[in-house]
This record gives sequence, structure tokens and C-alpha cells, in this order.
Amino acid sequence: MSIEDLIQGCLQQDRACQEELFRRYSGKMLAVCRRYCRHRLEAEDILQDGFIKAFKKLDQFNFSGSFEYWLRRIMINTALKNYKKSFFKNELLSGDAMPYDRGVDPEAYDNLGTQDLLDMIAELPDGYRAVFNMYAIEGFSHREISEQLGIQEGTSRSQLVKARKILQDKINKRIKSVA
Amino acid sequence: MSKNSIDKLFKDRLANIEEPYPEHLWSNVARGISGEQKRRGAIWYSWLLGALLLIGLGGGLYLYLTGDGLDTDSVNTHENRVPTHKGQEAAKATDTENASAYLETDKLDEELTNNSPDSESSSTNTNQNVTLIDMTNNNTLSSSHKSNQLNSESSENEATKLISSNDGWSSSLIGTGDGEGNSNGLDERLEDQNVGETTDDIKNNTALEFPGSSVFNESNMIPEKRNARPATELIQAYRNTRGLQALEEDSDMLTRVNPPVLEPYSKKRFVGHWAVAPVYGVDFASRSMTSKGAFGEALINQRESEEKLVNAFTTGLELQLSVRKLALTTGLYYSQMNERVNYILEGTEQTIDGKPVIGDLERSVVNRHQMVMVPIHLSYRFSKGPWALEPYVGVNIGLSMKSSGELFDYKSLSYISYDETSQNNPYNDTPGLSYQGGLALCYRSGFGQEWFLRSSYRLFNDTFTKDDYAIDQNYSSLGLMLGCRFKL
Repeated sequence: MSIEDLIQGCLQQDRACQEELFRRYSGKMLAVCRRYCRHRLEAEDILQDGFIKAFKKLDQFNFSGSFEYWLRRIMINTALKNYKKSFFKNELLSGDAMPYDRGVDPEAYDNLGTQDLLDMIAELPDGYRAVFNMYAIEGFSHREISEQLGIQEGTSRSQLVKARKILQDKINKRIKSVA
Repeated sequence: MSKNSIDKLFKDRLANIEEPYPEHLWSNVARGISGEQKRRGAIWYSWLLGALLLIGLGGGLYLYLTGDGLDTDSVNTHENRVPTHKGQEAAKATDTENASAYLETDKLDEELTNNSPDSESSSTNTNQNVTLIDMTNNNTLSSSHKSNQLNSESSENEATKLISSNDGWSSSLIGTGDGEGNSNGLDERLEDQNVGETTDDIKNNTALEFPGSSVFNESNMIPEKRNARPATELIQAYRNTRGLQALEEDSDMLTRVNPPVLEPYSKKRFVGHWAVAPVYGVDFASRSMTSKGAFGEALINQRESEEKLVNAFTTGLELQLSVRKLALTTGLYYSQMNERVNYILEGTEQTIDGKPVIGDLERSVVNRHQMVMVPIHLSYRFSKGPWALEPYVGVNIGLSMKSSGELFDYKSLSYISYDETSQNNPYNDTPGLSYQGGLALCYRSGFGQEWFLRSSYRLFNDTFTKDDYAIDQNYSSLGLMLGCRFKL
């Protein structure tokens, strides 16, 4: 069944189509949510909320773009909303960003598994994690990030730098421990 | 490794991955889709239910307290009297017209007494007597007087005509005596008659004028009392051939047979009034938690937190019905509690260049509880001058409750966010009763306004259910509410 047929079925409240749509995209969307959360359970909650929103707003999807992209944006927005409600914004690092450690062979990074990377992102402070995800993986600009999160562009840049620094150090430690 | 290579590493590895998802997620989503619709419906119905409850309660009270819509202010509190104790009754008469009526009755009684109550004249005497008993108004008395004058002629036609002209009761009871002391015809007629016919006769009299110029009509009468005394008692009195003497001795009977018993409502029954009052108050709340199971109890003990309930307030509109010193208050309250929880979150130990960059973090969370309630409060008023004290107790019926904030998830040992639409919202969607009591200090400022400052102590609880445990949260709040009551 094509995605268009599935969407039409969902619009007619066909439960089978809704389930099929959910099963087709939930794996990818859970991975998206996972990157924005500290814990997997939190990501599952966001996934649920995101899908409920998506089914409710499905009539607003106009088929002009990719459905997966549309759904992804809903998940990201849900995750960001969740983040903004948490009242927990870490501003741990201060001062200039520290230089990146260049002492590790780039090929060593190939040994890092996906789960390792996910864990590293999850361990980032919430604000850093959101900025890094949006900029590095989703491709948002700092202006877009600042609008979405309600922060200054400078803050977005600063948090991105700090997030990279933390990730760099985590990667280095991981590689060294494996080696 | 450059910053771009870090970005590229994560993007390449994570951008398009899939994660296995638990099977129960779909059932949660499906329940969420239908749950949203149901929840909207439930909210709509709860508001409708609350509105109907208010209307029903208010309307019922109004109808109950106003009786059948009688305008009691226009009803005279006249009491029916029976002219059996001549001078005393006259003295008891409260107004001039009543007094004169009874005085006339005395004259008539004297005249009647002069007539021997023998069998020859019993019928006529009885006719006159009944007429006296019958009516307590001037018109009737004067008619009776006339009939007494005619008595000497024993003119059946004349007497009947005059008496019958008074009202249906007189004519129906007296009927057509033969004027010759033979009351058989009368007895038969009386025996044949029933109370219903008598009542019908009365009903034909749509308005009777009483001393005091108050008009009583059919709706003011009490049918039960009007029909209370069957004519058989009176018939027996006739048969005793003692006529007036017998009737005078049996004052109780006279009272009961006194036709028609037009008894108005002798008390002003509705003394209540309505008032509306916008109110606003601040609450100082505290919370204690208990668990329904050992696991939940362990979770409670695991929390290392400092809890403060801040920005709690209640506002709304009250509708009050006062009846003498009692008052029933209802209306609609909106109450909000913002619960700030400061707790310690153990961060991941990280060291960069020998410096810890992530350590234990103090985390501050605000849980917001919003409630819509219908108060049902009963108060008693102690007033002195413009001041009054009103102790009150009552319940608040919860119509709706919405919560948002964060909660502790034991599986991940972390706090996760939720709002009113979240599937992980653990709070009960069906709020219950809260109990409230306190004391209000009121000051009547005139122009139908009254200011009041009211203390309140409110108790309520809420249960949140998460996964396989449930925790009862018992709230108690001490509040101070200011309002202004406008008399309607």
C-alpha cells in the first residue's frame, strides 16, 4: 500500500491504516526522538505524543513534500516542546571552548558503534543535545534553532561548540578505553 | 578530528537509523487517538453536568422556598375566628372591622338566645346559627341578621333566599328548611350531600372579601382544611335538637366545621435573597504522599527533594442564597497550584582537563495543577450592625483537573516531563471532592454590597498512577479569600 493510500485511510479513521503507518515509521521516528532525550522511555513517550499529534493533524499534510520529513518535524517539535517544559537548562561550561584533541587516528572512529554515539548524545546536557541535534544532524541554521528554542543565536553557537567539545572528549575516552 | 568531522560522524551514523520499538507503543497511540476524543467529550459533559447541577439546585431551592409562587407580601395574616366566646372573641379581634363584626355577632347571639331552641323553631334557629358559624365577614353577618328578623315569620322562602344569597356554603348546608320545625327535609339533604359538592360550591365563589380588605381566592385556600370537616358532625348537632346551645358548647367542632376554612399562609415563608460574589484568594498549600503499595512507598523515600507549593490561588464566582441566618453558597471556582520541587539530580561524572564539568545538579521543576470546582458550602451568620461572622463548611465538587510538570520514573531513575495531553500524564482525570471549611468576616458597606474576607482550610487528594504503582498525594491548603457580595 502506498503512503498516499495509507494517509487517505488514516484520514477516514481506518484503524488498520493508522497502525500500518505507525509501524512503517515508528522505528525511524523513535531514533529521532531518542537523540533528543536522555532516556529511552522519555523518547517513547515523545514518540507516542508525536504520533497522536500527527494523526490529529494529518489533514494538514498537503502531499507537496515528503511525509517522512513532515512526520520527523512533528517529532522534533514534540521533543523540543518537551525540552522547553523541563525547566532544566544547563549552562555548565563557561569560558572559551577548549581545543579539540587531535591525538586520535580518524580511522579509529570507525570502531564506534551507533549505540555508543547515541549514548554520548544522551549524556549531553539537554540544551546542548538539542542544539547539536538540530544543527549537526537535522541541518537547522542557528537562526532557526534560536527561534525554535527561544534562545539567542550566540547561545546556540556557544552551546554547539560546547556540545562538540564534550562529544569529542567522550569519543576520545571511548577509543582509548577500547584500545 | 575537526568539528565538521564530528558533525559528519554523527550525521552519517545517526540520521537514518531505526530503533526497535516496543509492541505496546501502538496500543498506547491507538488509545491516545480515541482517548483524545473521549477526553474532549468528557470535559464537555462535565461542564454541562456542572451547569445543570447549578441550575437544578438553584431552581429547586427557589421553588422550595417560594412555595407555589404565592406572593406572601400581599396576603393578610388574618386568622379565622369563630364567634363562640362572644366578648372574648371581640376583644381578640385585631382590627376594627373584625371587632365590629364580632360585636355584631354578639347581638345576633343574644337575639338567638332569646329564641327558645325548642323543636318548633329549631330549624330556623339552626339556620341562623349556621349562618353565624358559616361566615365571619360582615356581609354574611348582616344577612344572618336579616334572616333572624325574618325568623318570626318562619318564612321558608324568604329565609332561604336571604341565606342562600350569602354563599354556596350557607345555602347548601341550610337548604330549604320548612320553617315549621321539621328538619327532616334538611337532614335528608344534608346526608345526601358530600363534602365534594360543598367544595364545589365554594369554588364557585371565586373571591370572598374578608375584614382587612384582603382578597382571598381559591388559590389561597387550603383544600384539605376546607374539606376537613364533613357535614355529618353538623347533622348530628342538628339531631341533638339542642341547636345553638350544642354548637356553642362544642367550640372545637365549630372550629372544624367553620366553613369555609379560608386559611391563608399565616407566615411569610420566603425570607431569602440571592447574592453574587466574585472572589479571589491565595492558598498556602502543603502536600504529603502516601502509597498504595510497598513499592510506591519505597519510591517516595527514594526522593531527595525539597517541595514548595507556590503561587497557589483560587478565583471564581459565587452564588449565595440566604435564608434568615443560613446561607447556601455555590458557584464556580478555578484553582491553580504551582508546585515547585527542588531536588538533586545526579549527573554523569565527566572530567575535562582535570575539571569536573558535569556533577550533581540541582534541578527545579514546577508541577502545575489546575482545577475547576463547584462549591457547595453552608454557612451560618452571626451579625452585629454592619459586621458579621460566618463560619462555613462544605465540599467542592471537582469538574476538571489538568496537570503538567515532571515526575519521577523509576525505570530510568529520572524525571520525565508530561502535560495534560501526554500519554504519561499520571494524574487522575476525574477529580473528586475536596472538603473545605473556615470563617468569614463580613462588612456590609451599603448599596446592597457586602465585603468579606474568608479563611479557608481545604483538604483534597489526588492519585497518580504510573506503570504498576500508584501514589496518593494529599494536599491541604490554608487560604485567604477576598470577595464582594452583591445582593440580587
